[in-house]
Amino acid sequence: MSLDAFRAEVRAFVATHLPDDIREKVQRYRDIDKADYVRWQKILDEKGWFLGNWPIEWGGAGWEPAQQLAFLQEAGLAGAPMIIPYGVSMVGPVLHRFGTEQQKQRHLPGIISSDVWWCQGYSEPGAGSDLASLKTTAVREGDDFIVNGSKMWTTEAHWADWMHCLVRTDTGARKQDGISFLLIDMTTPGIEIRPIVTIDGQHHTNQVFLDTVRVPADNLVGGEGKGWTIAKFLLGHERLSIADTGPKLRLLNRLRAMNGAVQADAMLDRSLKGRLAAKLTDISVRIATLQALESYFVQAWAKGRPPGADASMLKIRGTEILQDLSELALELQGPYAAAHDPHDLHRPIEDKDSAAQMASAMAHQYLYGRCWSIFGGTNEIQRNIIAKTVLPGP
Amino acid sequence: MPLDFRRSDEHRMLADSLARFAAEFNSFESRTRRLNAGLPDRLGLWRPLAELGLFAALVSEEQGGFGGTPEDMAVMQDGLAASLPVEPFLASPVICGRLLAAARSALLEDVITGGAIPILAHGEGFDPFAKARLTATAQSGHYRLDGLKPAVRHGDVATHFLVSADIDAAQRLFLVSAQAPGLTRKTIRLIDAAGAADVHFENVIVPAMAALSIEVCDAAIEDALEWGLTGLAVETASLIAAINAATFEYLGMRKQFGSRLADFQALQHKAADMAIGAEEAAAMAHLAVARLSEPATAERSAAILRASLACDSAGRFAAHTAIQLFGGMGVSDELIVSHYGRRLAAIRSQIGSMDARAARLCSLEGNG
Repeated sequence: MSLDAFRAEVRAFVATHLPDDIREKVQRYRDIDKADYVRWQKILDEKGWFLGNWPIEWGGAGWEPAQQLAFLQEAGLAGAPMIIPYGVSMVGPVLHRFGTEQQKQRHLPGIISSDVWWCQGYSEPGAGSDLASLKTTAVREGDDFIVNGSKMWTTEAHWADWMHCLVRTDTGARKQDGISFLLIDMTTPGIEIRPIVTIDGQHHTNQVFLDTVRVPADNLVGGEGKGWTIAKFLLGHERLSIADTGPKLRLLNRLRAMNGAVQADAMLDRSLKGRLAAKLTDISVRIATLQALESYFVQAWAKGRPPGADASMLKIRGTEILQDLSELALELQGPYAAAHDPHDLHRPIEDKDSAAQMASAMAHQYLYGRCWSIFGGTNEIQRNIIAKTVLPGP
Repeated sequence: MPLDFRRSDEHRMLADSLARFAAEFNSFESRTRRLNAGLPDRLGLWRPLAELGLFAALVSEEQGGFGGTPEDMAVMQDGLAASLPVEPFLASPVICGRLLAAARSALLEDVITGGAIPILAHGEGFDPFAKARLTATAQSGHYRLDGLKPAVRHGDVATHFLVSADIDAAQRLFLVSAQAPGLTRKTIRLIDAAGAADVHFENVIVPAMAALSIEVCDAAIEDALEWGLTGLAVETASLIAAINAATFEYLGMRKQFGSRLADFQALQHKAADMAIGAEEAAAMAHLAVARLSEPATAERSAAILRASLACDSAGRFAAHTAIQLFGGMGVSDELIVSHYGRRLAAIRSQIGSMDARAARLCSLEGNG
């Protein structure tokens, strides 16, 4: 099947199979709750697309990178929620690559059915950009590890049944070598979740405290000291989704509609209209460039181009464009540009949106947009990676 | 240059008492508590500041106050900015104070005591300088108002509105009680946690004397808006100074990869640009305040708009960079830095949008 035909198939499938209430929530920038994600992931699984990027020998669809990208773009543009990566894109591949037979049998079915929900315990209060300095310890005691410490910015920990966690099992070794990859049942005694409200007034993320948490040693993946290797393996898995062009194109469409109303308003000043039109044109060039870059990289990877810092480039540009898009969205709201009520994101979908509530959704994009250049490896760290790749060494 | 608008001992005393007041009544914790409560807590600073004599300091002597110069307003804006009050100090005693003074309205006395909170309901779209579309119809012995004033900042807590309206293609201002029959408000929450309201007028009947007697209404409104824009420029410059101080302290404290963040050259350069922005904003804010003492001319308007745009540009950079440099902590609701960013986003649309301000400057400069 040609890529264009596949794109058309994805569009048609999303149009017919994405539940209307979920599409409405996505299109109107409402909060998507866990049950919505689960419902959509199960629908994708039934179609055989949930495991699109898993190889055929893992029971996946074995999509080529270009096909994976086509799916992500089309589904995102058509208003489908994202696939939550912690299980299917992170723990699943890690278990296939590094896990024991017993670990695979225990955890893969729940990941595939979306019945077991995962979160990612990496960052800590003192270890964000400098992840290797993480301090949460796991000390072997008989058949168990005793885990103590705290994890920070643990997104959706309050939804999770399990956490995949980087812990320090050897405090004497080189920082990276003392880190291990541990699977922790979130119902284990000693775990406490403290919600962190972010700049947008919402609760997405958490601090997770681990106080003498007893974890069976069988939950160690890849052996002691393999945590850093596994974390690096996972980074390579993010490169296809990192530019996230589908939702950006969807937001651009919304901005075009907003700008259309502005341009049609006979009472508005000609030079004001000109400024807004020019800003929209500029950002559409930048999005087109991001799309071209992403597609160029995907084709080149298929021909064996080493990934190098490509993903870092996509992340920097993608996050900057999203931030600028959201700023322009506010400007286009005119008198409502400052409207923002965190409750608007949770109102019933049956309610019609007022002008202020539509603006509120855009303000949420603006505010939460500040997170994107920080979470998942700050743009400063991404620039370090690029510089290291292109500059001569010492 | 540090921001400093003090020109007299009275200014120095006012600045000192505002600093003490902000520390005592509007700490980050008590602000958070108040904003999560309803009225009257959301207006908790209003009475104490009225009792302190702040509002009298914003009104001229001939109108019953003891101040009313641009520097008085700037000292107030600078003194309060960093503690992020959401009370309408600029919108009511300053902006409406000037309009009520021009109209010799008796309501000014209640503004000085803090008893009345009039709010200007003027803008109806992107451009705050555009003429009102809301209509006033003269009927026997009274007027009828019909129309919508969208997202009027502080419209939720207003006791009165100064409503601009079109009457036979001329613009007039009407003083209307917030309780007037036919006036309805739909409350909106804003990005900086202040409130606003869509204010609907449907067959609102006001007596003839509600039409304020102002000689040239368009000019009075423009003048009041320029006082507002200048106040916002001062507030922005003050916020940038606060953002920079907090960020530079954090860079010196937080360690990564065995070094202080302040030791990384890439971050040093960001800090350097933030420092330049703070100086630029301060210079432009001072300039705007100085200009405001002069009679209103197109040149004064252009200078104030330039200050507004320059301060926004520096403020945008400072807020976004500060949040980035704080990392995860920067996007947490628990630190003040994210709230500084939210306040600056609100300022961007407080008196028309930034693009509308730029478009007006474009035409004043004759650029097209």
